[in-house]
Amino acid sequence: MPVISKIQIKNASITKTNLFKLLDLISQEKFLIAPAEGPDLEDINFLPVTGAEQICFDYENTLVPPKEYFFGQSECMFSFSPRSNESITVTDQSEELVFFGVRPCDVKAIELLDKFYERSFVDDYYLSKRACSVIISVACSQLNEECFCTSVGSGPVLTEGFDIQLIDAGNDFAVQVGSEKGLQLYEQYQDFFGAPIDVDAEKEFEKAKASEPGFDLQRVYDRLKSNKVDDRLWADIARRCQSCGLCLLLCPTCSCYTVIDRVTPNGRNLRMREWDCCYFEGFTRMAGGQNPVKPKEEMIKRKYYHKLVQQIDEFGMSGCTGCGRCNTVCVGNVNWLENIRKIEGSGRDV
Amino acid sequence: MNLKHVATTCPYCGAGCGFYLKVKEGELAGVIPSKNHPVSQGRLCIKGITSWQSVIGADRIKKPLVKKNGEFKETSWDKALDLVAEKLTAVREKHGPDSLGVWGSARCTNELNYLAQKLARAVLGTNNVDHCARTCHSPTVAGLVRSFGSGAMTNSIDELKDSACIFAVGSNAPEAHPLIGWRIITAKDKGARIIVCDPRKTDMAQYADFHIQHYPGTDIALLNCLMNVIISEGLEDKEYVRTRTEGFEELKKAVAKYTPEYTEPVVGVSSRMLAKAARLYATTKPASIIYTLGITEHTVGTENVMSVANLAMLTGNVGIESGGVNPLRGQNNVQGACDMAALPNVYPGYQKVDDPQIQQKFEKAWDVKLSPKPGLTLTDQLIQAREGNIKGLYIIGEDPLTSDPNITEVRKALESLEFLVVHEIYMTPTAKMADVVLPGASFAEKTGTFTNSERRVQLINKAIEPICSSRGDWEIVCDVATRMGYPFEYADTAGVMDEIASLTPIYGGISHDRIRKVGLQWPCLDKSHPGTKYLHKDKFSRGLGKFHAIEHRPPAEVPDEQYPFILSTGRIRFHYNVGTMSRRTHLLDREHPFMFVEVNTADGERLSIRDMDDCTVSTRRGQLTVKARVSDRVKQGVLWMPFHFVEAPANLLTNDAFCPIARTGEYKACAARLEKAK
Ligand code: SF4
Ligand code: SF4
Ligand code: SF4
Repeated sequence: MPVISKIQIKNASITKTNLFKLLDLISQEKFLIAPAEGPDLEDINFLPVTGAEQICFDYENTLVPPKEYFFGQSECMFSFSPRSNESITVTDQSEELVFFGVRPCDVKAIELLDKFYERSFVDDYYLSKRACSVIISVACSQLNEECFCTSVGSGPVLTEGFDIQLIDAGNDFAVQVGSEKGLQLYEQYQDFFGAPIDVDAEKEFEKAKASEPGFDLQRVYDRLKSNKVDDRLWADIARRCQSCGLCLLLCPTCSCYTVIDRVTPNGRNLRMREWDCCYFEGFTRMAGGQNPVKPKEEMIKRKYYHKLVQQIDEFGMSGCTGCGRCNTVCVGNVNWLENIRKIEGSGRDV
Repeated sequence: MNLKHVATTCPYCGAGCGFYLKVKEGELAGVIPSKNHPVSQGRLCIKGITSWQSVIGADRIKKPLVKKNGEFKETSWDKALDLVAEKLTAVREKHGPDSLGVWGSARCTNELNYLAQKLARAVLGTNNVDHCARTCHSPTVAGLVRSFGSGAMTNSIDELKDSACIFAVGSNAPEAHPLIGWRIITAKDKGARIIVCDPRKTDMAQYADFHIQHYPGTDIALLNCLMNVIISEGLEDKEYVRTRTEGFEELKKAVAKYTPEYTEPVVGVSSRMLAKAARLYATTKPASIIYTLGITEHTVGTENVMSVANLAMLTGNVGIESGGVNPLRGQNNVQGACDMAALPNVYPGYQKVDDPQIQQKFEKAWDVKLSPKPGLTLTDQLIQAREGNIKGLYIIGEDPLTSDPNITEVRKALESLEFLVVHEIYMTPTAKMADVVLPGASFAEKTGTFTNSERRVQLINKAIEPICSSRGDWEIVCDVATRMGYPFEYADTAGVMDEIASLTPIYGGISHDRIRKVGLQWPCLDKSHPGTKYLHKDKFSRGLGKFHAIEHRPPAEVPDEQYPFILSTGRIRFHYNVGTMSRRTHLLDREHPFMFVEVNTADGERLSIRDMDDCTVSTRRGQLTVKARVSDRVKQGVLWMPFHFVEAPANLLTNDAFCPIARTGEYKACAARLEKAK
């Protein structure tokens, strides 16, 4: 089954009371993953919920993107016995998951990951999990401090590429069904939905764009591609970067991983894949100690080039979805948005 | 889908970041940062985000081990614990209680440390209890108590970002305490001025307006010189000095000779730079001083600390927001282990063992006769072991055979013991020497509290079941005590904390329930006390702040013809202390897999040593062959090594000369020789 097969968008609506009831029912009948408060520290993250009352409806976005359910920080691909190759046990990837509350930028990011993982090498570990998931996304009604989705065309409302999208319209949500999987879910719970209501997604988009300090992606693309960026920018970022990796590990579109074999304390042999990223020097270091992307400025530059040029060339979409997470997590105060604006020429000079 | 997040506290440095452990099907599967946590605020360093990997190594110790004819044999908990109780009892009977010593651990919880010192004092009957703060910040406790009356970081981590001036001496925060480094970078971005005093061009130094690259072991001369300039130019805070402090005249006399011209050759820094830095610090308020082991790990460690305190008081920077004297604690719970009195001279909360009233209070609470005689530091326990006076050691979660200076002598000390028991999660060089090894549970497998550098008591929560048959070290200690005839009966660690609160005034208002959401900063005197953001507001803990007149003294060992270099040691970003955990973490070990020595370019050229050449570093105590990293990061004549690599332990080389007050070793300066390896 393809990860997402688009259909002609079908419009409907749902009242907020019914949405609550629907999610409650889904959480009992299926595995529902939704924004929920973590224990003690009370951060909002995507977590399995077993009742709608556990869902947090009033949230901006989560610090960890929902990609972690398809491409985990650490996941066992298979376990094996080193002595016989018959005993490989592949981890079951067929658990059906329903997601609620994914933001448009993260839906876009998942779309990009889909493209990446089915590009040349078809990655079953990722794709089979995607195939048995369905996502109910919720459009944003305002831009948060760190967001800039309108500049990269990934929000605050999606025009395509979603399973089901909800758009807040006061007492109700406008509902748009955009894929086969979305339609299946919609039909299964049809009773909860009502007649279509009017929302003007285009207008929402324009409104949000006006409020964003954004940039002209085309101009950024051109300047990066023609290498017109002052090298001092890369030097400044390289000096700030403390190599924590979070800006990439938590980026919803970053797809890099490393593969290692792990023996657990009780003797199981696991082939793991784990988040990895290009700001770690060891990521590109070759046996013998040489590293083709040293000095650090080169590593730094790669992120900008890859997301804002290469992925546009390859997939026709920006490799940055404007979620702003990388600004939030940086211990060196590297501000990705500000730096893009510097590249564009609109920000303050380096 | 069986998945949950469990809130906890980072097991590495003293910044004390909070995050969630991700637990999938009962196993650790990652770390989720927390935006709401007051220290981490959505961020973590590479050690934090990978910390979950550090405790699931294949070689976790799986069962209690007992050594027979030089070989370890797995055994049951019952047998191992019986043996420990029996042996400790035997040693006590034969040689008396003071022939025993207990080492708590800055890596373990407050609850464990409380129980460990209670085991020593109430069950074994000795005050010979200590922990690895002895090798790092004991001079801080000793020095700041003398100057201010209380030995802890005066201000809070988050206040640093609002400082107008940050004066960092012997601290490389971006590498060693990344989340504190973040505040410094933020302060800088907001316009703060940064002065860094460090013999190396550290990562910290690249943010400096002034980088004072003095010689290792010349901090007092340097600080006295700054104070000399401040006083001679009348830049001291006269009102503050008059109303809040004592001893100014003595200080003034002591620093009089340290003019910039006099000091220049001693520290190897131009007199102009010294004078400028002094003016900048004195005229930019609030100014916050941060320091770490570059100050404490010297034979003059305690005096170094008091000099730092002098400088801060002279400019009126103690007791104000975003100012203060801020020792950044290196380990997750080194503050707490001190608070809990894994120290030979005090009961929990720094209550003196030789104060009869305090002794009575604890005798009543614990229902036992207690010794009024302060015990031995771990430094002295090792010396006395070699002398034949310490016969049995109970070491919890520490590896002195890698982390203490001059490990050849440490080995001799451990060899001369009649009985050694060690709690560990992995087989360390120290554990290998033990008679009994007890498998402890890691931070992910138990509940308890850590106290971070800013005095914030925070929870760690059990996320997974103990790996193999390991057990929480607090439970192990309880079992040993009970088997020795003094039942330690607690339902859980929350119950231990309740007992701590009842006996420790600065922890009086702390309970697990109260700190579930956000930790509390001590002093927290009662259940309604909100905790304390910064210390010494309006009044010092000791009343008036005290200036100490201090003279510069060179390190115990200075370069000579045979050993012409000064060797210093420290941390790198990707590893942690003896590497037991970070070296087992794939991403960290990949970032930096090998031991090295930093050499100045000119020295490298002179000795025909190029970057990445093998070279031999030797001192009077030993030698190591490692890779050379040749650059201008160290000054000419100085060598620098990290201490994370068991296969090439830097402490084979370091000097076991100790601060006479705090008994901390001189890790930061000894004489060494460098040669190209043959
Ligand atoms: S978040 Fe900041 S410090 Fe961390 S890797 Fe990214 S740029 Fe570097
Ligand atoms: S680059 Fe930054 S803003 Fe863009 S998608 Fe990644 S984390 Fe979000
Ligand atoms: S800064 Fe310290 S406490 Fe925070 S994540 Fe890093 S090692 Fe852990």
